[in-house]
Amino acid sequence: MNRYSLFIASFLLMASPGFYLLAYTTGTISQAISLLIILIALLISLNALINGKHSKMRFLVLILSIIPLVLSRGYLTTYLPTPIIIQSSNLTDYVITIVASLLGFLFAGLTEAFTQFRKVLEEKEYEEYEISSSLGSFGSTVFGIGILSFVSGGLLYILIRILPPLNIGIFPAIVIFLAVYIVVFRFIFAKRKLKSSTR
Amino acid sequence: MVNQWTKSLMAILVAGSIVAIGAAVSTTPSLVAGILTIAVFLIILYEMETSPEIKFEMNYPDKAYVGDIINITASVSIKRGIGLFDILLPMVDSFDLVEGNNVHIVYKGLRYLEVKFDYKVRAMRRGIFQVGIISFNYFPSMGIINGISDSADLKKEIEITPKILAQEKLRRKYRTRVRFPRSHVSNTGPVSTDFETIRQYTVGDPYRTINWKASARSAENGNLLVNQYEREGTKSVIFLIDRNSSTLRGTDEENQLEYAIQFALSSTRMFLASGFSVGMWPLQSKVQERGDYVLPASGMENMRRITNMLLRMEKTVTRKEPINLGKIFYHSLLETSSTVILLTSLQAVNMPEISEVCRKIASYRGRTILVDIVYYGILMKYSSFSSLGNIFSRSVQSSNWKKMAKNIPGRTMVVHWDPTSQKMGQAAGIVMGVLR
Repeated sequence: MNRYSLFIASFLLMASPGFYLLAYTTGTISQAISLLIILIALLISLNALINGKHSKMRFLVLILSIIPLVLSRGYLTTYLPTPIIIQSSNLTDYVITIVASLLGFLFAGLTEAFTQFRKVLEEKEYEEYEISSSLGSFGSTVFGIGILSFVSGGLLYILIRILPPLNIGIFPAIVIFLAVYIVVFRFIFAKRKLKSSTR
Repeated sequence: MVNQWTKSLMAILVAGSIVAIGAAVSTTPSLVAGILTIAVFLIILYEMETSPEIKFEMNYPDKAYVGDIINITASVSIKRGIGLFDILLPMVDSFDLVEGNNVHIVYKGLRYLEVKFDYKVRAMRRGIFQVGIISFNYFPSMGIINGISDSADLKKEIEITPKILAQEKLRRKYRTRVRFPRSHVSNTGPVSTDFETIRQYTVGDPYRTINWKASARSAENGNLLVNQYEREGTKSVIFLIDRNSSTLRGTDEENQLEYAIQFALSSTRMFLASGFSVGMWPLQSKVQERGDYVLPASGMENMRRITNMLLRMEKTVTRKEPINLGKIFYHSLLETSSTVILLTSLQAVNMPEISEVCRKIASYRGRTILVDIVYYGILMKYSSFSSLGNIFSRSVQSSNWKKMAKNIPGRTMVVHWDPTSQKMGQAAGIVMGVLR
């Protein structure tokens, strides 16, 4: 997989909430937000492709994608007269585009890394076929992991929805949360310092 | 690169947090699927990005000659870990990359990786080189963890020996071009009754050695022929090698010291094959320690010792103190009555100390054959006026030699050798002629 494929994938996925709003909503605010999302997604993807620099605007796409959802339902709508952009019937489809946008966010990071790796390797004058081959494998592997995560995330959510809720009190819930939190952090710090073994 | 990746990890976590806040404020539980996507992504990469286990294997000959092309094969196998591996295979300054590349980048995905690399190098200089250190950098795929820079030492060496060029030529019998001294330069025992060869009569040969029958057979030429008999005892030669900065004109690969080493090695092989005892000393200021020199001895075992010494020989800094060859040198000189072959490059700068060394050798009843490795040719080879090299070289040479000849003490024979215009065999032939 080359960086252009990653660029297209990251742009389409990141801009998917914008395309959805553009296609299925009619209000001025929603149209403005949709165009803004598409424009920023394009700029971010181009920046990742050309410069390979970390762009903080990536978060803006996510925030802009969540704004229509926050304005349409939840706590904010209870206290403020907000315009309803997303109808309840279309909620599931829009949430899928947000998750896809999150995946696009990961792929934009991958494109950045891809471009930066390529620049460094070209400076070091590696053979062109080696650069293309190794970065191609790199892109395909991480892309595959991203898709796998996306599918697994969806399946896990469905599994959670199917399973009956646990009726535990607040105190046991906090204890379980802390236990999981400590285990995860110990795992992270154990891996932080890597040491290779060579023979 | 590594910093960028660490930022990526932070970015993924912040993105997850934004979605989580959005899910909470909008009371949309289905957004949890997004958080789960990020969580699964991170967990997979955390599980994959573990410490890699890397195994290297290298194949190449242990020994080669200067100028040879060496084929190096490296096999790299990587278990565990996921990411880019930047591998730097061994390369020495004195090697010239001829084919392939010693720097590679490979990507280790989910599967076990095994790759082979081939590259060819040309050995430009003699020596013993460490060709077993492999460096590598590991850049984990998503940079969630920091990368590694490490190296592996396979503890392998390659021995590059100068080509022994003079050997074949020196198998022929050389005759001295000088009439005096008439006695053999190397002090050996009396003439034995073991026949060696028939040669032409020269002034000073005893009449009893004249081979009348052989002379009659070649009467057409009108030359008298004499029998030559083996002498008892072993002839002994000690090489002295000057490795001061004055012997380093040219490049690292081609200078007087390198030519001196090549000459010494080739001559040693020839002398040992002819039954001589051969020793080797470097010219240096500090007192010589065992291991710095090789005592005169015959047999091919001494060839190995001398080769080892010559392969490790490197330049010294400019001498500030007078040359000190040590007691052992002078003791062996007296004991073996060796001829000393001093390999240097005569210049105004080193002339006084070289003369002093020759004088001291003479005081110990030793004789010196001073092989002056002329550097003008080498300099001209690397200058832009290469076409004028020979003319310039010869005119400067002759004027300098005349000046320097005044300082050469008695019992010293000087042989000038310009390695760029004169074959080593010729120079060795002259030395051999003086020795006989």
